[in-house]
Amino acid sequence: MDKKPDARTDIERVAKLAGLALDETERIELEQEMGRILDAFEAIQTVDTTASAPVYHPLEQVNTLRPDETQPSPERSDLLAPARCQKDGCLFVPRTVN
Amino acid sequence: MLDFNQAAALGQAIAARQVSVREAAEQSLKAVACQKTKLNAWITVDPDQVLRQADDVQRRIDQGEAVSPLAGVPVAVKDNISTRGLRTTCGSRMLADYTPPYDATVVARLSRAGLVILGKTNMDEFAMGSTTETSWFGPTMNPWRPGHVPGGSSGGSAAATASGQVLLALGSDTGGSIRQPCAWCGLTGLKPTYGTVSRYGLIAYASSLDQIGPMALTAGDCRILYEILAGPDSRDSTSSPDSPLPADCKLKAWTGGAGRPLAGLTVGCLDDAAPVQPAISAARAAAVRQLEALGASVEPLAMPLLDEAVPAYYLIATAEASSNLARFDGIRYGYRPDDADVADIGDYYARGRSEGFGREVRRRILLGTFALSAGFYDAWYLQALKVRRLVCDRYAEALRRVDLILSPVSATTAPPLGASLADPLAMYQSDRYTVAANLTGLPALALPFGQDSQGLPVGMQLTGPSFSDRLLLAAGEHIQSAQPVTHCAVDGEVSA
Repeated sequence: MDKKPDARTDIERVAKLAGLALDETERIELEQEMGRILDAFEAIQTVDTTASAPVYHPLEQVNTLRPDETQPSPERSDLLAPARCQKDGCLFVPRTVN
Repeated sequence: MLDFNQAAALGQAIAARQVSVREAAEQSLKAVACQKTKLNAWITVDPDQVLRQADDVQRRIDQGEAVSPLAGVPVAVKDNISTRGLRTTCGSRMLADYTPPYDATVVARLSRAGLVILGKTNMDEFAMGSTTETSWFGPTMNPWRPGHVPGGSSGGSAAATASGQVLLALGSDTGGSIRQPCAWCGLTGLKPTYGTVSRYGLIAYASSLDQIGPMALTAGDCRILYEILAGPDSRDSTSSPDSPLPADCKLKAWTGGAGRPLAGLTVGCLDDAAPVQPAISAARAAAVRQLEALGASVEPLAMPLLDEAVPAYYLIATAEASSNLARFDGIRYGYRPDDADVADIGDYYARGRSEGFGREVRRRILLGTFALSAGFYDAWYLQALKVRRLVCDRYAEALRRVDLILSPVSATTAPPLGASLADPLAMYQSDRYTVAANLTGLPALALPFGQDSQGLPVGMQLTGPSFSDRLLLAAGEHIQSAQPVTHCAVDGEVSA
C-alpha cells in the first residue's frame, strides 16, 4: 500500500494537481515538511478500522431543501461588482485558448 | 468600553436611553484607533459606515421597533464572514480587494437584531493556523502580553474583545479556532453543534467541520448572541431544521436550580497522560473543585484516540480545503496575476494561486490534494474518515456515561510570537484537545480559568451532547457566577 509521496516526483505531481507552482527552494522545503507531517500522521494507519464506516459529515440528515418558491435574485451589477474586469455586463477574463 | 464589561448591560443602558447607540459606536471606534498599531486586531473598519449603522439602529429603537437585548451594541466579525459592501479578505492576498455582494446569514441576523457591525477582524489566512500569524495583513498580538500570539484562527476577534474594543465578536471554529483564542485571551467562546448556526456566507475552509459561534467575556453574553445567530436557514442545506436533544440525553432533566445549580450533573474529567503546563493542571484542578462546589459529580474519564484524532482531522480538513479553495482561480474575482507571458491557462491558474495564497495555505492545499489523490486516497483520506467514525463512537459512549466532558482547551498558554510557525507539525499537534468537537459535530464551550505565572490566561473546555448548546452555556453562566469578569487593557493592566 502506497503511503507517502516519493520525494521530488510526487511533490511536483501533487502541486500540479493542486494548481500550484513551486519554485525550487519551496519545493525542497515543502517536500521535507510534508515528509515530517506524514511520518507523524502515520499513527492513523495503526488504528483498526475494519469494522468502521467512514463519516463524511457529522449530520445524518439528508436532502434538507427549502420550499420550492421563487425568491428574488441578486442584481447582475452586484454580482459583477467584485470582478476584476467586466465588459458589456459580462466577466472579462484572460485569454484561455491560445 | 463606556465602563461596561458585559454586552447585556450595555444593551440595557442603550434601551434605557442612558447611552446612545452612536456613543457606544464612537467609543469602540476610538478604542480601535488607539490600539490599532499595538494589536493589529482588525483588517477593515469603516467609521462612516459604522456611524450610519448606529444612527439607523437608534432610529429603529426610537420608533419602538422590536430589536433585541443587544440592539446598539458594537460587534466584531471575523473576516471570513461575508459582509455586503464591506471588504472580506479571509486574511489573504487572494481576497485582499474582495467586497461581497451579499451578507452571510449570521450578519443579516445581527443587523436585524440591531447590533452594529464595527468591522472585520484579523485571522489566520483562510482560517488555517492557530496563532493569527499567517494573515497577509500581519500578525495580531495578545492584549494580555503583546509579545505573545492571541491564538487562532479567530485571533483578531479575541484580541479586540479581550482588550475591550468590543464586548462581542463572531468567530469561526474548524478545529478549535473559537475556543483556543478565547482560552489564550481570557474569554468565553462557544463552538456550537454542527448545523445549529448557518454557514451561508462563511467562506469555507472545511465544510464538514466549520461552525460560526459567539465570543465574549461571559457565557451570559455568548448565550444572548447565540440566540440571535442560531436557527435553521433555508440557504444552508446543512443547517438543522430544529435543535432537539436526543430522547436518551440525561441533560434533558437538568434544570439548573439555585444553591447547588449543577446538582444532578455528572462531569467526566479527561484522564489523560499527555503533558500540559503546570498552569493548565492547576486550572483543571480548580475547575473540578468549582464544579463540585456547584453540586456536580466529577469523575475521571479516559478518552482513547485523542492522539489519532489530530492526524484524522488534518487529513480531512486539508482534503476539504483543497476542494473548497479550488474556486480561487483568479478568473472571476480575487487575486489576478500578470498574464503577459503565461504559457497556458494551467500556468495562469498556478501563478495566481501561488502568488495569492500564503505558505501555510499552500502547504495545506498540497497535503489535502495528496490525501485525495489516486493511489493514496484509501490509505490516508478514507482511513481518516474511518478514524472519525471511531472518535464519534467514543464520544457517544462517553456522553452516555457522563453529561459533560471537562478538558483543557490547550496544553499551553499563548506562546511568544514566531514560536509556532517555526514548527508546523507542533502547531498541528497543539490542537489535540479541540479537534474532536469538530470531527463529531459536538458543541464545546471554552471558559477562562485563571492565569499562568506570566499573567497569560488559561482556558478549560466543556463538551456536551449534540444540541446541548444552551445547557452548556447555562452551566457556564453558573460557573462564572462566582468569578469576576476581567478583560485586559492594552497596556497590560487587568480590570475587573
